[in-house]
Amino acid sequence: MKDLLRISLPITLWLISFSAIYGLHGLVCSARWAALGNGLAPAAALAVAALVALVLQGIAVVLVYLSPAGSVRMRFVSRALAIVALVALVWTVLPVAFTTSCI
Amino acid sequence: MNALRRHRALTRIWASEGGWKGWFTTVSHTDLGRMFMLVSAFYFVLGGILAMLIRAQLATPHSAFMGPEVYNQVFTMHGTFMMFLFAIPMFEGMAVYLLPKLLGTRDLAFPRLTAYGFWCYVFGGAMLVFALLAGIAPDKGWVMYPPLSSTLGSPGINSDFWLIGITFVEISAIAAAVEITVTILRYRAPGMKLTEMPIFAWYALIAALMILTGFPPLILGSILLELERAFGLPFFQVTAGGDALLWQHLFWLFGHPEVYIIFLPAAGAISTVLPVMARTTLLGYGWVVAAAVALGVLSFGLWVHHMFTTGIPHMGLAFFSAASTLVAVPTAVQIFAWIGTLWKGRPQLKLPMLWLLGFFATFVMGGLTGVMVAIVPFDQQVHDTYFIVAHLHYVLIGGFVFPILAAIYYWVPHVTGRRTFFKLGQVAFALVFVGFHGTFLIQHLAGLLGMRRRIDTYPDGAGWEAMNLLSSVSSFLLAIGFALVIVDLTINALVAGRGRRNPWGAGTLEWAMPTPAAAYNFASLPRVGGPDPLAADPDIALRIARGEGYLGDPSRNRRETLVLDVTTAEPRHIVVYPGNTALPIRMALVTGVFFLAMLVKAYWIVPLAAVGVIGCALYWAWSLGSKRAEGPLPVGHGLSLPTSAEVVDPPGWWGSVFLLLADGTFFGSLLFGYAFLWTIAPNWPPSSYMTPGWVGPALAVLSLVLVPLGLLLRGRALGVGLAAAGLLALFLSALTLLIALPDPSAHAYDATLWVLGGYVMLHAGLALAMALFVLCRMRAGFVSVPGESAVLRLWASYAVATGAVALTVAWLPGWVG
Repeated sequence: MKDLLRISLPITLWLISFSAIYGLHGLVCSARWAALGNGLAPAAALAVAALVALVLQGIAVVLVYLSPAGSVRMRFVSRALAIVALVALVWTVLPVAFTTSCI
Repeated sequence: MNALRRHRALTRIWASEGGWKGWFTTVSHTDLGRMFMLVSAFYFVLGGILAMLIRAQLATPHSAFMGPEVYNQVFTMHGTFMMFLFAIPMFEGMAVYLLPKLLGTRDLAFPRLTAYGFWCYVFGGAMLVFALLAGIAPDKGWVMYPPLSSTLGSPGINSDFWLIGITFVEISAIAAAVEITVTILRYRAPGMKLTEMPIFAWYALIAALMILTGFPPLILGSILLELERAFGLPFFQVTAGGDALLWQHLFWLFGHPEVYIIFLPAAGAISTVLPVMARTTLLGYGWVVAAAVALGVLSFGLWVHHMFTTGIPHMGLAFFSAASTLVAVPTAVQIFAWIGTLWKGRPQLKLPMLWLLGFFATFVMGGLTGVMVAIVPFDQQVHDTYFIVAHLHYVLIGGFVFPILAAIYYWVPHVTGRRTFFKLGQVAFALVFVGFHGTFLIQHLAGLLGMRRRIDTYPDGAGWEAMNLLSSVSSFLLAIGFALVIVDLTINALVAGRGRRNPWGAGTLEWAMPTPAAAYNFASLPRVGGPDPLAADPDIALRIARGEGYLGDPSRNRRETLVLDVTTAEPRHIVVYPGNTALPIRMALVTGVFFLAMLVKAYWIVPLAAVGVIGCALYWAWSLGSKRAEGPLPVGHGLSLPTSAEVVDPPGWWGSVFLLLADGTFFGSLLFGYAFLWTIAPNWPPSSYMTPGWVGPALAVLSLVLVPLGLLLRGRALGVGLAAAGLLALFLSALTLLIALPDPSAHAYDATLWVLGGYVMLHAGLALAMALFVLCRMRAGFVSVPGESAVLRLWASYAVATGAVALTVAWLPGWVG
């Protein structure tokens, strides 16, 4: 089971981060954000969330590389998926930097 | 004992009952897999006939063939049959039939559950067929968007058939997914590690996990929409705090993974069949596994690309456009792995290979148009036009039907035991290929020229007439081609001569048995060391038949197989299966009464049927285990193992883990729905938030103390009793929610809290019933109590954890506000 968790956790972390950032986007662009008394601009909030997600994903890559061996094939699959998850996160949160937040 | 005597003894133990009774009492995965595939083929034919009606209607402008009311039912049921009653069950059927044979075991993890799932599929599908024949079929598109599908837009019973019938059928999918997952993880031939199992098993595992996490959002959406239709709970009505977009999110959270759930098993079939056709091994097994996992998980991040025209902000559009383009990469990795396999092999142009070549051409074209529609400005032009119809048929027929036909032609010698005899099949392939592209290629252009989806007719002079006529004529070619496939397979099954075992020279274990397969699969369970055991050891079939593997001695006279450690693949215990029984079909019938009562609004029957289902489930569980500890039993090769009744992690525990994964996804979707409405829906907040009072929170705190305390006292009746008391407190705490909000139809807030409260009550009640069951088992002296207590711990912990979260989010606005 540890092997299965090792291969699936980094890409699952991508899904969680991606969904959380999308959810945050919905929140910061709603009337609720100001009503919550939050002075932080939507773009800033999203940028912080994206950076946190990138750091966590990077940590996941490091942990996978450092974790004790399964078989050679499992090691390959888990490392490949960890890299894929990091690349996926960078690609899919790029819009935070390049698009308008709430229009 | 020689091979023949062993075969006869095992056949006596494992065979289904003879005659017509056997159909209803069989729990054999071989029988049920075939039954699943035959019924799903029936639905393919039914869906195909509906497609022919659509094309007949659209062949000419202003056609009088069908009026709009009938046309709406026809195209809705075409999509519904194909997606829910053909594609998923065909995968289930293939997996149910093949997996134990590929993995080197004797049956799936829960044979009676396979049968129950099959009969739920049959009865649920029958409801929808009845609706179609009676002219009251769902008619709001297979996507069923409210408000069109809610009370105002769809006042009749049509939409209820969809919501209730499809939810009934989905029980079958969830049951199969739990089985497939547990079987692949724990029921393999000794020595078959996860990295050495047949590639099809990896794909099936990923698809099963996707079913467990992808179907619950739709089940939730269906329940919410039915509650709105039946009782006025306004989840999707803007005026009362709901939002129609909530349905779209829930539907597509299911809907996008659904198409990858459909594609991945077909990709698994390609990865299995293609190397055999090329007389080599798969290139890049590790890359393919990584790509399949990536595809499975990435597909959950694409759903909003079905909603690009709903007015969401640019950043949201961009997120999902980026994710949608990204998903082409793991798909391409698999395509290149297959091309590389062909490159390094020596391909033969046999009939399965023809279908695979058809897949390459068609699916790649569909994938390219997929990347096109992932680009937002392009999609905003072609959304809801025939461009999308063309795209979806290219990827679904190209990506599922063609590979599945390759798989059927590949494995039909195994199912029938007859010689390959496929002359008509080549003509059929040619007709299907030409007919398909003739039908759908031109529809890309029709869409770009403005032809919208789901229209029952179109005007003269729109410029679409010739395209539609060509499409309709070609569709008849396509239909004739598919009909010839059925004729070809039927003739082969009936008249072809006996074939030799393993006609393709494949290396996987399913070919290491007589064909058609014996009821027991393997006379003894082999120890294997790689993904192609037959290639590594050509005599393995003989050694299996001679009883040289594990469990080769049938003298205990019962159905046995081995359960392994997940990682090391070493045997851990013996599973003793129940025999033939009518309990699954009876339980499916009672479940059907439950759903039917809701459909016809005879709500007084619903609790009675629910009690009936619970009664069947208790009887089901009670029949397992034993009061006599057998201790370790010999399994061969000097090894002795306990039975699963005497271990703390029996297969049922694993089944519960994965069922709770689905349940947890359902709960997460419910929380998402609450958060979505609170954030996005107009007409929030409600006039007032409920104040929790002190009774509800006090009961909840009591449950948070009693349940963990009780579970800590493992194996003692006092512990189970404390946990039961805590679960009762949790049930009552959630009840206070419903009492405090007497009118759930007043606002979506009230409605949501009712559903949250109902969810907690259901799970507290279920866990309480399990606790009482365990107490009774303790009194009766069953040795399986430790394993059953482990299952109880799972469900009780889940009930308390989700209860705490649900009650907190329900009470928080009242406390804070």
